[in-house]
Amino acid sequence: MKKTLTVSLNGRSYELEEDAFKMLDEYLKQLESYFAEDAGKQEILSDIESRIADHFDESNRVRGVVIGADEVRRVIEIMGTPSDIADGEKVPKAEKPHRSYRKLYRNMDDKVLGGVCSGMGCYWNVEPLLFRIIFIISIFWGGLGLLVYAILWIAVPPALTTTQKLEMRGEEVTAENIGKSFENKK
Amino acid sequence: MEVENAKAQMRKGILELCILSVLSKGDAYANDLITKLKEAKMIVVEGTLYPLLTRQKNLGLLSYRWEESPQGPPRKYYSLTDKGRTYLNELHRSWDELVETVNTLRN
Repeated sequence: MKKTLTVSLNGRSYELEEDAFKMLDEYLKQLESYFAEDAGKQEILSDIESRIADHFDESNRVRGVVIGADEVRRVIEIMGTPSDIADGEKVPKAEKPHRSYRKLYRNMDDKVLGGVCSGMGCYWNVEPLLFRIIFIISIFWGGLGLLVYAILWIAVPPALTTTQKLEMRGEEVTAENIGKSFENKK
Repeated sequence: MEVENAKAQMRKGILELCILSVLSKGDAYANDLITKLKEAKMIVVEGTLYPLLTRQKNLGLLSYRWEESPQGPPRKYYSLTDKGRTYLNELHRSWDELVETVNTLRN
């Protein structure tokens, strides 16, 4: 059994298997960033969408046929990837996928006191235990660590929302990732 | 890489001439253009055509109207404008000149 998704291509609806949907979605996103600088971007994309719909119609004359990944791959081959379309011409540097950046938060899901060490661990991608040991040792060295910890506890915001948790781990805030983190919670 | 780039630029310029040439013989759907240009091996992937059509339309060289098609939703039916016709004549002339020049230099 496979999950399907219904998409609308230039006003016509098609049912796609999940992997087929992901492939097509990825393809259209690539085209979108390839044509990002083009004045006619919207028009080009909708023309291409409508041509893709034509190809789907041609090979599935019976309504209700679900479109699989093979069909999407075939159509992408006909339409061409951005580099096919550029055809050896230097691609005007395709927009890089939005780079996610990390933010320092207190990690409320894995904390001993205020989640400061755990949050720092996420930020620098280091085992939080390392920071915990450093803080504990520094307490015995004149107590400066205690003060620093207290300041960080006050100054650094806790990661409460899903968006903040994704930012804390340096993951991109996309609908897909938010969905994933909900699944993990279950 | 430079050669590839030059070739691509050349092909694109010639492709623009071909699109206008096909339309000068009569109005056409994008799908008809694709069939013709593919037969002539002027395009390999279909995606190449759409940015050019949009660009030429924005330059006022061609225009389109929505036409009902026998199957499915209405489609863009492209035609050459007067400006496009003048432009095409200009392109044809410079094409002939280029071919002559290149031939003279190569022989």
